[in-house]
Amino acid sequence: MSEVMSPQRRGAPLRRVRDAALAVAPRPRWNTRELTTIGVFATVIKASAIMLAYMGGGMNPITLALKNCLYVTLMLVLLHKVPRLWTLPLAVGVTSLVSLLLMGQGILLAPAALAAALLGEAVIRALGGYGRTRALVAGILTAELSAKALGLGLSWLSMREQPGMLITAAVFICIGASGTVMGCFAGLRFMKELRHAGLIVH
Amino acid sequence: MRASLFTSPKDSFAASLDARVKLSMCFGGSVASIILSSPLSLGLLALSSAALALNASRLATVLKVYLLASLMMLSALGCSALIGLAVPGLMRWDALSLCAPFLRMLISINLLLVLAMSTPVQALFKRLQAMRLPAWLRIPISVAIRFVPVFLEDCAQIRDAVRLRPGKGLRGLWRGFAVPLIFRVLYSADDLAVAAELKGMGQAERTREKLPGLSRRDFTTLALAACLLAAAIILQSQGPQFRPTSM
Repeated sequence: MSEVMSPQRRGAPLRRVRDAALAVAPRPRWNTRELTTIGVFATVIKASAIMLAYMGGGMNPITLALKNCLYVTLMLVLLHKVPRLWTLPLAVGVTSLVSLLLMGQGILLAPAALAAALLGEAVIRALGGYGRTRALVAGILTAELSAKALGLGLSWLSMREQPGMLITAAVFICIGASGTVMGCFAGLRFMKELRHAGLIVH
Repeated sequence: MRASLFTSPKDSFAASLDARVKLSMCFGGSVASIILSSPLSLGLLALSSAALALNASRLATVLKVYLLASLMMLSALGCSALIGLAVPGLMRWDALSLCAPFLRMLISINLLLVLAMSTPVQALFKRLQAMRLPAWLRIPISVAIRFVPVFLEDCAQIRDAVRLRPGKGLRGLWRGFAVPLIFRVLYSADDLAVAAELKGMGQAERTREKLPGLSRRDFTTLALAACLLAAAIILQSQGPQFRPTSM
């Protein structure tokens, strides 16, 4: 924080000031506000996926891509709202658990998603932490694409006797991945709206 | 609160089992179905899990889920057959290659039906609370489970507002529905957080309900599940061997 207040840094661009403010010593405990926000977003992500599926009359390629788009958009908003270490793995873990309990998602997908989220967290830290939008986008993309790759691996394990069916699964995963990429752009657009409204300050 | 987003709980053998037992069976069955490959072993697990699924939910519900899953699998198989016309090595028409993926999916579906159809969310939530999970895991899960009705109500309100002043095309959907919904969610999150802080959630340890032990019925079910798993493994290693045949 002293770096922010020092006279030498008076003319520093806003981004550098913001980065320095976010790089202060990490707090050892999560506060209730952050944890509640993570829980709320986990619900929104899952409930919107169900609503999309209902509106589309089931999971067709369009609703599949839209579901992934929405997931990435909301995750980007969440990571901006709660910019602290381990937010991504915690959010993914809670979302997976809620999916399992409320929607009966495959139980083996949750550990795969968590492992992918840890990889995404590493990418965010390597690219400068939660203060940079670029790092967040890269982290979420890494986490999502790794989760899809791991999901494809699990599909191979359960369809190993019929390798042709894996191609069909791969096509659907590619459609989902295209939604993921679209979600990054939608998320960035959302951030503009939220910054304009003053709901996100960095 | 409803048991899940799709159904309501009812009194049955599956409903009387502890949530931890059902979660363990779900995880164990999913892992076993991936490891095993003999149609006989998978068939044994599929039959026993189907019996439990039928006990946990209505026959019509189970049949609907089976129908949907069969349609998905058949469409995947149809696509694979088309691909097989171009690359013949990718499609196999023997019993093992056709049965094993179906049976694996059936086992997972049955076990998830048991979990989803016979476990009230409040029961799961109480177990999580009693398990002395750390606050960083307990609070988001409890908020996530309890926020569902609030979120659905928010959606209905915004939908009504859109009906009063309809927008056109994607821009209308964006400005009229998506952005207000996220704003509303963020405000709701703040309100909930203030309420949680005022109630003292996440602070020092408070008196909690003691985690109840498993009943004799739970232990018997777990033992039976372990025996079935052992029988499936023996069938895989000692039973008739099925080898995939090439076209």
